[in-house]
Amino acid sequence: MKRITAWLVMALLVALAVPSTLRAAGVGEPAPDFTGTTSNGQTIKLSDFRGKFVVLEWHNNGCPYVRKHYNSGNMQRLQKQWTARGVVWLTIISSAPGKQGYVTAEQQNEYVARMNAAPTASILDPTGTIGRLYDAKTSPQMVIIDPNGVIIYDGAIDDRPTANPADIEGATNYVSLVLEEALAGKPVSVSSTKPYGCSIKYPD
Amino acid sequence: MFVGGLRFRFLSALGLGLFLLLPGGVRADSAAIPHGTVTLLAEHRSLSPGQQTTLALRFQLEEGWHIYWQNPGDSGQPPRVRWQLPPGLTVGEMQWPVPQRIQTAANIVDYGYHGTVLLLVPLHATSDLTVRSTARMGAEVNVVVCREVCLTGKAQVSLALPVRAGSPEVNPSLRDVFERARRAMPQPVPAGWRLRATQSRETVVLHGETGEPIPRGFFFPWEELQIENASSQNWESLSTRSPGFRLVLRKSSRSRAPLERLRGVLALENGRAYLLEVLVATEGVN
Repeated sequence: MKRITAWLVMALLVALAVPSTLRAAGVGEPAPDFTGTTSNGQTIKLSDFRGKFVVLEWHNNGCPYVRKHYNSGNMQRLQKQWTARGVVWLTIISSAPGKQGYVTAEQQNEYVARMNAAPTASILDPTGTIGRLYDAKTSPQMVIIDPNGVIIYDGAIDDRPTANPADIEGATNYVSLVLEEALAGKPVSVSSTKPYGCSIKYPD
Repeated sequence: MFVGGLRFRFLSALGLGLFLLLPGGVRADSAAIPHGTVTLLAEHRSLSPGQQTTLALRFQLEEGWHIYWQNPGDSGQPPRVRWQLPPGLTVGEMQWPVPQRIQTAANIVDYGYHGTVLLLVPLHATSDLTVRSTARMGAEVNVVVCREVCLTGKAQVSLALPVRAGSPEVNPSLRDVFERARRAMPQPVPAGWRLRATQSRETVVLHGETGEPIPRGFFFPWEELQIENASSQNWESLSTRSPGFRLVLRKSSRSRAPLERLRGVLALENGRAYLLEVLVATEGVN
């Protein structure tokens, strides 16, 4: 008995000594495919958009950092600017029911209309499955995928990690920087930054 | 000293501000932040030319709410302070007490403070500061306060101290407050310890020879993007020959370049905490 206990303890120690291998896909790696339901009730797959640049935007309409970019119109400007150039823009909501930012399809459609937002689609991810697949930590968090399905950027929306709308002017917007370079066929100068904002409100 | 929340919020909602009269005739005002207050305090009740004192920003938060360490971890943002000081006064570097680990999801860990926390700042007076005057100091504090949700707040706090010749006098009513605040700060690594760090592609390992056995510890990274905040930290106590420890940390998946140095606070289970900075060697090279 004692011996078995000792072995169990050993096995546990070995298990603990191996750092957790939970690791989401990173920059330079293939973007994990997912299936999502949009606020219009459509089912879409990321791989449907192969051949196009895709932006993933993690969203929570109650988060002050998200409000910074929506109330100022900055996010909508980016959505319009880049979808006009053929980029697919997916707004993803990974808040769990009962938590901040959770919305029904109707509520999200109402929000998009009221805010004059222009994503290609809003994806409802109340189980947090897509969020975890990308190890999304904050709203907003931005991921950019190239036409070959490879992640070319993951991180913050810009270089001013505050909730103050006055900080938008003069900030370096990483989404525009990366897309401008990538669409011109140039190498991307910034591929990974620390995302800033509110924590994603995953289910408990 | 503690001001009732409701009455306080009522007054500040009216824009009246609220003044606390500290013994010694020093006036300090508390200002409202979301779910709490912030107060500017000074360790001495007067200033003297050429001398130094310590200021404190004291945050008092309602239960369940937190603010952030200078490295907030995966989300949030540390308080930002804009000082308003008269000529002849300058502040030094902010001192941050040992933070707490705040896990908000399986993959999200933040670093911050609940309850009451004091950030300390040295205040230097030049030798030509005019005696028999009053120095008015202010600070604009931008803060993010979170529970499950986050709220932003901006507060203006101020403090007026008389300038006198001779040595400044400690404010007796705040002696314990400042003493406790200093005890909450990480200390220098004990002189007898020997620390080194090695890294592989995915992990960085902190090795310590401590001379005597020490309890388990947890590492708070001083800078962002050194380690994965939410990954488990694997502490191994070493007792063969020389007592010490080995702490395995997962490197941030966002930091591509090898780590040059590991900087942070090692907080032990016995309440002691040390501020350390160690050069990181790369395994296989060194």
